[in-house]
Amino acid sequence: MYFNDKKGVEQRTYDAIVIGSGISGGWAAKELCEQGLRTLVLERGRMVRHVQDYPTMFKAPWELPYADRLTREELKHYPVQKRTGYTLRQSTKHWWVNDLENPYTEIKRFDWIRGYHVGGRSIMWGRQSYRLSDLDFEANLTDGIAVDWPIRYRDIAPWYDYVERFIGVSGKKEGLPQLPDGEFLPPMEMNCVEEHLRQQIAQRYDDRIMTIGRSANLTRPHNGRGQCQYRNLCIRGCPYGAYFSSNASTLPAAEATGKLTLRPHSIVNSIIYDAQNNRAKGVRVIDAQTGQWHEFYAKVIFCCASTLGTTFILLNSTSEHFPTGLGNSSGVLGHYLMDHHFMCGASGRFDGFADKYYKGRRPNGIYVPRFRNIDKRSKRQDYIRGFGYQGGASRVNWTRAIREMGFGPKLKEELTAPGPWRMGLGGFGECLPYYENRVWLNHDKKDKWGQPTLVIDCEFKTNEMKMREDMKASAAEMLEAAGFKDVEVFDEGAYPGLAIHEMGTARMGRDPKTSVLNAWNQMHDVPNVFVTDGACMTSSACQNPSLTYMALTARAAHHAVTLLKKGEL
Amino acid sequence: MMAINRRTAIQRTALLIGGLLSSGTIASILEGCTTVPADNWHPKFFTPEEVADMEAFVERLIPATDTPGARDAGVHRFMDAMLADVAEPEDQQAFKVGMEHFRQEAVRRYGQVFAQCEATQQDELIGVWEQKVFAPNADEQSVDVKFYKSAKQLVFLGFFTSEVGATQVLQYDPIPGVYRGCLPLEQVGRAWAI
Ligand SMILES: Cc1cc2nc3c(=O)[nH]c(=O)nc-3n(C[C@H](O)[C@H](O)[C@H](O)COP(=O)(O)OP(=O)(O)OC[C@H]3O[C@@H](n4cnc5c(N)ncnc54)[C@H](O)[C@@H]3O)c2cc1C
Ligand code: SF4
Repeated sequence: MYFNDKKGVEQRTYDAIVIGSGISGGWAAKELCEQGLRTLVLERGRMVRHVQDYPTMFKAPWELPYADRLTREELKHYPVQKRTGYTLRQSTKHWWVNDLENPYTEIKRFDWIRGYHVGGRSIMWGRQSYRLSDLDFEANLTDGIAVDWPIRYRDIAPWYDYVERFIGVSGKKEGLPQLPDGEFLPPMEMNCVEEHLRQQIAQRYDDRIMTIGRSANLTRPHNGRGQCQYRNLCIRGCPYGAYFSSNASTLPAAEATGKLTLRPHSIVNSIIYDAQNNRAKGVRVIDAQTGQWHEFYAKVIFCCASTLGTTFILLNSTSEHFPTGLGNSSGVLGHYLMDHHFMCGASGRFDGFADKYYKGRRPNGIYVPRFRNIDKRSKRQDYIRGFGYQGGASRVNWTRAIREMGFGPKLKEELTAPGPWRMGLGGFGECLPYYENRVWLNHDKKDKWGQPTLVIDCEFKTNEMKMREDMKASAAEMLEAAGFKDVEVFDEGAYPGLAIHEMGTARMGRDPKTSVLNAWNQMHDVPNVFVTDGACMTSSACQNPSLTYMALTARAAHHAVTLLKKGEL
Repeated sequence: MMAINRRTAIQRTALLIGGLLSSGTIASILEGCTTVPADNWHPKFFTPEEVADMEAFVERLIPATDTPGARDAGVHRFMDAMLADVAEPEDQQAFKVGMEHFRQEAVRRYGQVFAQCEATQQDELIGVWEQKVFAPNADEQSVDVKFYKSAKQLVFLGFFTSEVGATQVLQYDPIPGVYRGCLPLEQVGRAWAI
């Protein structure tokens, strides 16, 4: 049912509409509101209030049934979400979509890991926050692959500063050109074995370093949010607001302006195109609670529904002018889907430091920034681009008892002491943009609202597979050189989606014929539509991407307001 | 007939006492946080006879010493819940068959159900299974290995995620407040539960 009478239209008209309230939507809301725009945020999932709606944030292990595992019956609802193996628990199950109610089609295995609620995946994300550099922004041009990014590091650098200052990122400056330093809060500590490896790498290699992870956890109070208490329960929501989420940071800032209207249970179905003015007029929304259809109108629309969420909406926004999707005169919408490939590296035991231990559960690990293909000397013959390592060391706990012989009082006594130190290094590798890695709409398979569903056809190819060999070998080599014992390589398989860094399906570029968005994340075809989630990415780099989405979103929002004020939207 | 019934009755009583000894917190973990009177508990996966044997079994793997053991932590109940609700049907099946073999071996060797055996006999039988299961040439597909390995995993998982296991045997700090990466072990003390 549509409300098209005049009063209804007025009530449903805002200056700006933001679709999605996750990492990018929260930023769009904050910036647009703070610039004075009356902003409507449409979020398909339920409301999640900061702190009040984190039901498991204080639960001790024994307060969670089944040792935090899901039952067989419960797991039936999550055939895709369970694939990570580490994110779906009793303590987190309310954050993941019911896969049965949110179907899609996998031509090849693609793990679409997502949560539909206010805050999106900003609640569950791993908080690793790294800048891209010109090595990344120039990569496609240098390699003659896909299209050139329309921006360079200098365009985004001030916006990285801007978002880091607001969200708070802890880390250490290292002065590397390929991983620019940020505006960091004090770094977290490494433990004894990590520090040992760091020193060994520094002594033995002149092409790489190891640093503490750069993470959006507050190592001191920041912008009215509390300091991290080192519980490592971030994925459940933080009672202290000590890590960045939309719920703890950007949405409250937006709300404080008095300009924000947040509408949960609002599934954006499509964007309404006004051919006469060549503008988007508004959006069609399905109310998830009532099943009713509504329209909302605005002068500018920010698409922040996540890479695949946004791509779905655009593909589903067809008109006479845009028969294959809004802003798709180039034909590249839905193509060039990327994700990082990971779950591949090496681990080993360290026999020293038996008399040392740690206190606290650090919600962060270590990072070895990319060291391959960064200059002439580090050039590889077998693959292009590169990877970074994440990892950490800890002492093995009681779980060692399960794998070994023994029982009774002696074993019980032994387990009261920590086990040997172990260290792991796992690569996160860049994935190239391939035209044939793509998504499209299936009109034969409908969701429960009668909407078409996505089909995903995506795979990693030779360049990624060659890189994985090096990811394993180089990790093992460093560990062995640093005196680790029983070093073993691992490769748990490479499935796109699993790194939860899906991106690239509405890319930025210089030429409207080969890209969807311009240098300001603005649609070439329809100037009042901005896409600032991962769909905009022209290449994937190997760094965790969300910090870049935030910076691009803030930058685009300021640009949109400037254009609006000049009457150009 | 009579004998079995009396034995069953004794085992039920033992279970009841065991149940009364375990704390309300334990019951609440196992029942999903609704506090259920301890003696209201009924196994979902095990038969009452099996529970009695498994209760004795978990206590031999992690006995009460100067700190509480697996029985105090209600680990047999944890196992029951996990096997009933989390384990896949084929794993349930293998567990049942493997457990039956183990239990019958107690009767065959010692003329008693496992729960009634002397502690030394219980330890001896567990030792036989340990040898068999962790032998280099052990058949990972055999029901003995499947039963024993998953039982052992459940016992240690259940115990060290229980309140007594995590706080009295190991240490657990809900809100550490700091991260210190390299402290003298004696300053930190026992191993962390997590
Ligand atoms: C376990 C985990 C660990 C991660 N670790 C890291 C990390 O360490 N570093 C990093 O950089 N990234 C990490 N990520 C990825 C990160 O979470 C995403 O990159 C980021 O959340 C993307 O932001 P977004 O705004 O595009 O999408 P989301 O945060 O997913 O938000 C999208 C929102 O849009 C809503 N939506 C979707 N469709 C519609 C519609 N049709 N109408 C209305 N609303 C809609 C959704 O409900 C959701 O709330 C991790 C993710 C996970 C799950
Ligand atoms: S580890 Fe720190 S940021 Fe994470 S939930 Fe705990 S206190 Fe909050």
